Amino acid sequence: MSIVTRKIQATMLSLAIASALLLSACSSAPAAVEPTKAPEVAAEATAVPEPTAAPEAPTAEPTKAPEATATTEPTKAPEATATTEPTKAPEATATMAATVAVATKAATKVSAAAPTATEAAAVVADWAPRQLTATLSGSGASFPNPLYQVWISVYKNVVPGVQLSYSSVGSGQGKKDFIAYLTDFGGTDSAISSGDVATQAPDAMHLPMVMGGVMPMVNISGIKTSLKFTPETIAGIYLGAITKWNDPRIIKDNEGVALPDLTITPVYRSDSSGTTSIFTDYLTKVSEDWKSKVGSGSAVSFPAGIGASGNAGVAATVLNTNGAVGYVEVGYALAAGFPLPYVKNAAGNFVKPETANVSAAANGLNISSDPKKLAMSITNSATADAYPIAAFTYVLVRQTTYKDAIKAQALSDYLYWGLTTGQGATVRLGYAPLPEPMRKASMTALKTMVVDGKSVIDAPVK
Amino acid sequence: MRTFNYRRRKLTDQVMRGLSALATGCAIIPLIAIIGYVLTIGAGAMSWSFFSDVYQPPSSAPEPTADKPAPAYDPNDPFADISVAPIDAAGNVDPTVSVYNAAPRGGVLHGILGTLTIAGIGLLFALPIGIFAGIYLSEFRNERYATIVRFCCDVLSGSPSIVAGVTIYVLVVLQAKQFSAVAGSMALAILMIPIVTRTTEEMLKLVPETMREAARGLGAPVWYSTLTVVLPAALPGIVTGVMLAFARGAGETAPLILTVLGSNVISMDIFKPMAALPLLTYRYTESPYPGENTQAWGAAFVLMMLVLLMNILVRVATRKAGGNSR
Repeated sequence: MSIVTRKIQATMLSLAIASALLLSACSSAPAAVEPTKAPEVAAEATAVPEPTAAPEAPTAEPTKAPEATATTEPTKAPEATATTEPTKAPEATATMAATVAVATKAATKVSAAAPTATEAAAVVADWAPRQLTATLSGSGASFPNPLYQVWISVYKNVVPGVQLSYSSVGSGQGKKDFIAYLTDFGGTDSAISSGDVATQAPDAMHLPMVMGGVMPMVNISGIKTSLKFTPETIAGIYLGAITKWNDPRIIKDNEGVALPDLTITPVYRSDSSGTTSIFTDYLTKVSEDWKSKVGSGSAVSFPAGIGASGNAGVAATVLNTNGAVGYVEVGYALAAGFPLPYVKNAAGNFVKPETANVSAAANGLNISSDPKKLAMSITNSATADAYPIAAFTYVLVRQTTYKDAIKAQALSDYLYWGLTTGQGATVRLGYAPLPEPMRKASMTALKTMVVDGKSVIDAPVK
Repeated sequence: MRTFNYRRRKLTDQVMRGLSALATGCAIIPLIAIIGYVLTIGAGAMSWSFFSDVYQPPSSAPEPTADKPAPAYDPNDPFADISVAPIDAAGNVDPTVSVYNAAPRGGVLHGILGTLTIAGIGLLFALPIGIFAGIYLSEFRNERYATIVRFCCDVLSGSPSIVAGVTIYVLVVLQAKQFSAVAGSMALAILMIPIVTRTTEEMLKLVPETMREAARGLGAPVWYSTLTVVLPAALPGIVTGVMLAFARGAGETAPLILTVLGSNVISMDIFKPMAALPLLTYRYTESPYPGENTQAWGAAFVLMMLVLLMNILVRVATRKAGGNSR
């Protein structure tokens, strides 16, 4: 491992220029989208007028405020749109609560600087997390870890009393820890299996937090351009049917690239991983052969290739093996200065795993109104510009079995903050923000969390 | 004939001596390589804030200095200083300041405090058990029970550390439904006990029998002579064993993964997850950011230095207290 790490670093340095080129290259295409998107998202996240009662723990506000929202909340009413659009109800509560909020000096300096509530609401969120004191620990997926760490470190400034920790131990371990009640929340890229949910975690909710893509990372010495892959070539390589880089099936898609007569070394995850789950879910959808011979899951038996542990392990193995290809979360390839490949999607277009394309994979989703059924596969999306190997990453929370109300309040505030303000960090760290319907569905689900029958968060779904 | 014999013997001597020297060299090479490697790469992470700060997420923003303090927290844009790379008005990214290539930020203070706490409490568990067991094995060495204990001790010291981790995970963590520093300490104590026991035993055995006899001759009961004569005479050796145990515990990663979980903040509640240097090293090597990979080496370096420092401190302390023993 040590040598591997060293090699990564060495390559990091030597590829600094390459990655520079790469970054500017990948920014060129989505440049129109990405930079404009960033401010938009940030602006939206913060500008959302969220006038809640902002129930400050210490100020013992008449408890009817939460109750009022609780009753108006039911949401359901999926109007014409198939998504769980929040009803008008919250707005009614909102205006009512806004006055309360101002009266209770809820948002401190923010609302103090905003005498005209309506104007202020346009630029500043009136919702503020409660100033509670709690220690929350979580463990799970490594893919969203950089983002979660950023959230946690920024959230320290927002609510100093809440001490959060998240350990990236992998999706499999994260789910196990959560089911065993070892952690307050879990992180995972793949849903808990329905059997486990029924028997061991009946009140687990998967709350989507961000989106990300899995990509084939390729190391062929001398070739630094983005290769094009089709579902057939990816499945063929991992099935062991395509063994040379100059196989006609690969060359067909990559006219003009001088692919050498080099043996392909597929690299897969040897540990139980959400990334594997996303990747094999995709292959199962696009390849009959794969479906019958291998199937999907977080740890499957790969017919060809060599194993490596963790996203970083796969990236390092690819880095050190000429002719290797490995599937990794996009950020890991970016960090190693590797070009983003094109993958042919269901609509027949070759797309790169860039923010906008990953987001597009969630277009037209039919979101369940059951807060416990938000986990869904979005691989092989039919959208024209969607990147096909995309997925949500989830935070696992308990709907009814938290014992400590303060803890549950602190956790729900943090997650609500992540779903609003926190989304502003996604694009900046190379993730894709949740699409609006899913973000709202996630918030709606969060609001169903109860301790001893009492709702723990009272915030608008906006 | 005679000269031939002499030459042959001399040649054999030289060859064997050479081979021995070579083997010694080979044994030292990994040590030098490890220290050199950790030093050269870990040095890149060294700075004042590495020792005084806790985890900070990677950022392309420059490190705040005295004349250029960090910008105040802006509720409208809390992520102002965190981004893949700054994006200018024209929509271009400046890759030279990309977060992926950004210099390491933050430090490992939480890991240092965590390791000291976890290994320290582990030592508190292991010391009484280990030393008393060692005394028993040495002073009552012929009893059959002692032979069994000695054998078990050797088996325990040879068992893989992950086994200790799993055991505590099942017995403590799953029962308490809580990852905690103290569970980690218990796992480390399992690894420390055989080391403390066996070194204590060996060191006590080295104390000449005549000293015990002299004490008895002066009318001291066994417990008195053990406590005031035998133990003090063996103290420096026992301390060495304790330090070995501490170093072994402080450097373990596997048991901590299953028991302590880790944390990115300073948490001094021993019934909650806590940070530890080996855990930080392990997690940082898995990071996609080169800056954190460097910090992994830095954390490994700090861990080595921490053990060395503890070693020196304790030796100096016992030398003063123990007087003129070896």
